[in-house]
Amino acid sequence: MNNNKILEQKINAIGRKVPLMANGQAQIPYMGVGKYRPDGFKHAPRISTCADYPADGNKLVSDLREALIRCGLRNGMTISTHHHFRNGDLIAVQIFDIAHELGIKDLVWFPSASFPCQEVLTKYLEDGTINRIEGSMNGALGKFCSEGKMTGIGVLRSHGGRYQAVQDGEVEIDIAVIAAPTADAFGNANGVNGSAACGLLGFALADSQYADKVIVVTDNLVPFPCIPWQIQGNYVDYTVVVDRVGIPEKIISGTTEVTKSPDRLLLAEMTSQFCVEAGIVKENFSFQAGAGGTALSIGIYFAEY
Amino acid sequence: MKARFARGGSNKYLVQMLEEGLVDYILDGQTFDLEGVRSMRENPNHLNTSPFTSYNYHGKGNFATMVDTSILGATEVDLNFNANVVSHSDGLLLHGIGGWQNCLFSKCTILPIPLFRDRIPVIVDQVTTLCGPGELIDVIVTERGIAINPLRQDLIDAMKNSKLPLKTIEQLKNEAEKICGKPSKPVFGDEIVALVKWVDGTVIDVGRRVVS
Repeated sequence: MNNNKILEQKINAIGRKVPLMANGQAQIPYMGVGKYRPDGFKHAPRISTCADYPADGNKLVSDLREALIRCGLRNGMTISTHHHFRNGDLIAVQIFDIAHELGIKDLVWFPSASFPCQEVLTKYLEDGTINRIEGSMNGALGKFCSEGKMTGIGVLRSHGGRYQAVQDGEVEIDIAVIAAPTADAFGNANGVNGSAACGLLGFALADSQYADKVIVVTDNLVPFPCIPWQIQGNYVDYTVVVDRVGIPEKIISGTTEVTKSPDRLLLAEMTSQFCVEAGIVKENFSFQAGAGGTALSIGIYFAEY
Repeated sequence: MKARFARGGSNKYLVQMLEEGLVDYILDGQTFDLEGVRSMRENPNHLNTSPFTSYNYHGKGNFATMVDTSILGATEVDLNFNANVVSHSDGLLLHGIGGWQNCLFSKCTILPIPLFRDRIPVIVDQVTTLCGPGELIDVIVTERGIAINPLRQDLIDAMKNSKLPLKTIEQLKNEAEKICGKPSKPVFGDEIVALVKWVDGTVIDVGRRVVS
């Protein structure tokens, strides 16, 4: 098996054995809640100049392949995507199809989450186009990783941890590809308008701010200005128009549906009852329900109080 | 009773609460269905947020700590309330962390989970992969009883006269094992296949190669 995955390790503050190096990067063992003190400065992308960008604001190039080539796609780069289309994403797989055609190797895929529609990427993990995934590993991708078949070591982060890692320079994104339901040729983009509207593009915010190169891909190009601009074109290098950027009907997947199971509804009811009795449900309270049918059902019971 | 704000993932039920005036604002990180998309487009009180405003631990505060209660899932919980959300008892990585770790910082984190899934107990001696420290997990709700983290004496006091079935987490674990028996453990190789990062970039646990 993969001997480079047997690493020098240390027991962290919660009793787990963790490595001091992984993927060629030094790692800090967990120290306890709020115990690790960060030091230094945030990561900064290179300074750009308007002299390199069209004065008319038109950053359109012919297709995604052209945009990736112009961004200097090469071996070992870190490529990011967002997951606002959830299981209806149509762009991530295309990126790696193109990279494979170009003979590029050892890429790091840095999605904000992965979904079953991307499981075909296992073939690129197998042939070395992709070295590893730093993001969520769900379904077949998780199984592939768990069986030790991935070349690099996967890295799992929370949504906040992903922003933190980009901000702090732990992950340097070479090329961010942002699928956008509406955009203008300058790169202003949003998720609320267009036939593929997916709501928002917040998971791509860090990518737009910190990546070296940023590509916005849309199927609904509007004249400048694209309002609202959830993503600002001033961060964007190239824009690309495709036939279809995502399938919004596939946003709903497993964990985002309210449960119909009576057992799960009982849990939701007991939870809301607990919140009422413990004094949590009060005027002007606030709550968050996570993904997962039971959690999402809580609102139904809160609504009764 | 009206909520000041709800954090999304938004779905049609949250949108309905917003439209009926039961909640003033949805601060949304992602829309979970097309009703969420429509509401975000049409309703100025349905706001789009990002992991920077909501969750980033290396910032000057974030929204997650201001939430009164977050209600989350888990695949396993141990006797110290440490929880797993990325792997199952077979050791395979099958879920992402999502906003789960970040939401643990709410004022009261509740995990409603079934006591067992497919005859495998969810409350265990040690979680397969440790994703969240128990000190941030306040309440476990199962169909056979509710366990409050002993660190939350205030909640224990508040629930003193409740008719809800309050138990210790040990009691819940024993009940599950009485029904299902003690589950067999997966066999792991030495190789590390994945790191699990904590919200501050440190490594809280790893995934190891699953042999069987």
